[in-house]
Amino acid sequence: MKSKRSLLIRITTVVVLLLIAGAMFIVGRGHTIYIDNKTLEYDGQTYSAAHRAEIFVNGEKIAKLSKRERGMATCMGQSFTMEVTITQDKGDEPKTYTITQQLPYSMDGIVINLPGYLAGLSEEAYLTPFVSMATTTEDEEAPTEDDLMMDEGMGAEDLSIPSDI
Amino acid sequence: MSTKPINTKEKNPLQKATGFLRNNSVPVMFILICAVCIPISGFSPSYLLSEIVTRMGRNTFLILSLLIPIMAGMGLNFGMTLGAMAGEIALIFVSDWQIWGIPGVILAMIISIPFSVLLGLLCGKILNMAKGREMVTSYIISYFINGIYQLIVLYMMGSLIPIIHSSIKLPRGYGIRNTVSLLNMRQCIDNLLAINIGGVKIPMLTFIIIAGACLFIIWFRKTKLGQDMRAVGQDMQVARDAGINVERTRIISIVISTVLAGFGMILYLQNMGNISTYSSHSQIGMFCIAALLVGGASVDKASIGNVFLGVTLFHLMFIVAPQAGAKITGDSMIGEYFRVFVSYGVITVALVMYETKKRKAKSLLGAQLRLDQLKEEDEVK
Amino acid sequence: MNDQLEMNQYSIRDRIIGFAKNFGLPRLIIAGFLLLLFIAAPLVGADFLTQLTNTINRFSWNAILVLAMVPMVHSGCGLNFGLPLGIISGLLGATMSIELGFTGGFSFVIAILIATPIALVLGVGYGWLLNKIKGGEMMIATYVGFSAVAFMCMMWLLLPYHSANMVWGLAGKGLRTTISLEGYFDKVLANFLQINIGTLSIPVGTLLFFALLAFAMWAFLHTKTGTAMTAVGSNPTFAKAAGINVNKIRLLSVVMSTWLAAIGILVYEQGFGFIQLYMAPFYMALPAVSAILIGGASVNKASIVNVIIGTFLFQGIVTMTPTVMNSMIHMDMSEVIRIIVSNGMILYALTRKTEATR
Repeated sequence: MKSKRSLLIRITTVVVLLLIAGAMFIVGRGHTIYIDNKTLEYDGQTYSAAHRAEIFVNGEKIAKLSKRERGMATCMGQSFTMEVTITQDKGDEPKTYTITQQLPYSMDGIVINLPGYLAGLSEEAYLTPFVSMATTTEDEEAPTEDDLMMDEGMGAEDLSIPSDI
Repeated sequence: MSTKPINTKEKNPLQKATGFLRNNSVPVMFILICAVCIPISGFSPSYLLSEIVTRMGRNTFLILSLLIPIMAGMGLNFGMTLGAMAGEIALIFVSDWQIWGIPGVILAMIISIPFSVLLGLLCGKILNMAKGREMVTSYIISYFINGIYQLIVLYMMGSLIPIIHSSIKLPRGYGIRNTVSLLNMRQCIDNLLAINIGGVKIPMLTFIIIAGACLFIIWFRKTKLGQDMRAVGQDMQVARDAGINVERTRIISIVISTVLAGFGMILYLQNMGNISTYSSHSQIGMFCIAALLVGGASVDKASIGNVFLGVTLFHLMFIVAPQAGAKITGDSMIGEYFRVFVSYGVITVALVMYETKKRKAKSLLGAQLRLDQLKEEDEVK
Repeated sequence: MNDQLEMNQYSIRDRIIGFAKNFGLPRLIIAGFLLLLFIAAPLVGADFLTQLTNTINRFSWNAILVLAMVPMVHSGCGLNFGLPLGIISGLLGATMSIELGFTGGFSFVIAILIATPIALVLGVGYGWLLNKIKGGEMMIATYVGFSAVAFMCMMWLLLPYHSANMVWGLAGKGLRTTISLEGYFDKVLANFLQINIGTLSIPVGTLLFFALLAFAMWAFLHTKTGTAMTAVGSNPTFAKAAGINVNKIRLLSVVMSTWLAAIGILVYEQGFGFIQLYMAPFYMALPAVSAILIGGASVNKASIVNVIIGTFLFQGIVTMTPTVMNSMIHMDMSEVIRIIVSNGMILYALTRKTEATR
């Protein structure tokens, strides 16, 4: 009886842990969102950029975009909400929209084209994955012998002194 | 038993004082070192306090992981490095999957469990084959597994084990970079619920987690398994006669220690904000053990109080030594070497004291046995 | 005689299995691995003779450090993880010899002369300590070695060295991390009677020096004191009953081991051409320990043959793996293999049941 109970407890623990892990996958998935205030051409139509767009996330102003500018925000989870205050042309009355966007899980960096979104286009029109340009320029050497312990001939491990622990 | 008469004897204050000094020589020595070095270093008290609070939050959990094997009589678990490696592997995965913040930390902890358990089982099995020299064996195991860790992280990750992001991969296409950034979960646990008192940031959540670990250890001591462990630690043969599965108990103690060390390493690294893939874990075991010993623990006895005293004193020394060394000798490296020397020295002294004590007890026991034998022979006559 | 009779009764198959058991599976694997490397080397385009030269060279540098393990294993003190203590004596000898202005081959002799008393003093202290903690030697030896290295790190900075070839140029004090031995005793032994045949070159002088010490060790182990040492190692209670002063013998073995380590590091340096200070001696014990274990020694049994076989196998793997691995799979995994092999070997020896009695 006792072993049956403990087996049950164990299985429950494992299942609970797996469930938590699964939840963390969804809740904790981080995305970087880039918001573009750029004129979009799609299907032969032109959606022109706003004169000025102010973006708030959780009541905090994160960007003030003029034409052809890009703002950035980070977000955990698959749903991203922001408030956008748009001034379409100079002198226009600012309009405020609340935008909630479902984010695709597999994309790390997501570019949202604001004019496209506001015009109510389909998702594939305004939502594109972010492609970093700067990744290839960086070169880091493979860990050298020093990093991997060992000095000439003898097997000395990590010779450096840790300066901080 | 044979030492009882000495304890009950009346002691004058001087004897008591020398007895106290002898039993706590290491902490006293450290208090002296700190007392000398602090004024010389010229750090302000508030700076020292905030540094110590940070380091306490960072290291305490790791050190707590050492307590259970000591209870089971397996000495200082140099194999806690194994847990640290498991934690690092989990964090590498989590940062590759881009899980951020506290969910990332929790996920890393959950992922580290199977690795830790596996390594702990292996370590426990090996240590059972080397009874009587657990420490040196666990010490070598940590190097051995470090080799396997490098094999996995440097050669298999990215080639056999999928790693998506090139930002943590080496440019050659496989292997993990020397440092993996944890920017997105940096100090996320420390900052949540943190309170500020006089410029000193106190990471409440971290301390709550540490308190939880302390409670777990206190509770664990009282369970059946904990009692068994203590019995095994006192005398393996007696425990076996009492029907305790000695081998299994010892393995469990190492597994728990490894799992806790894995959690501790994740907490440690979320505070640091990046992983030094090939060196973060290599010295961690040594420093944790040194800190525990500085707190007045010995190879066969350690309490939670030792952990906290040890963290405070050891890290106080760690902070002030380089500066004090630089002020005295004009060379900053002296202090750096000094603290390394002290760390090793403390471990050496503690090990020597433990072994001499053990030998003394053994010879006392031998004398007692001989006496008993003589008595028996007399009775037979 | 009885043994022989019994041996004959076993079938050949049993004997082979027995041999494998005796020799140990890990050793067999390592020897097989090295053999494979030697076979693979020409196939992947590496020059066999160059590889052999490298292996022999490394063998000549390291053999004495491995030999230093023998006396302590014999007296039952276990594997000498405290080797760095002896190495430090050697380093002190080398640096002082240069500081005092000796050059060329003569500086090597002086280095040995200076290192010897230091090694003796340190060895006596170390041996005294190990006598107080019988049973826990290996762990404490490790940490004695570490503490000594960390302590000397401070000393290298603080001791009043002035020789321009050794101190940091700008500060004018504090020794450099690596000191070139050019003009001092760089390759004094290696160049003595060196044999060169094509790409194969054999440092006969160094090998002779090792042979001399190894022979002396062998001869010593057959003297009265030497057999007493073995007796102490195999059965301390019996040795005590036979009137042997166990502590004195153990002390002697530790002193011998420390002195050999001092000489060993000097020979290593003359081959390598540099003195390495600070943290360099830190992990020098582990390769030496694993080398002698690979050679067939155990925690309480070691012979000169173990030293020779072990050093050759270990250094063979160390030299061969990078070249062969690199040209075969374009991955330099030699470091990792070295770590796994050497520590795995030590682990294997530590967990042997029959040897775990001590």
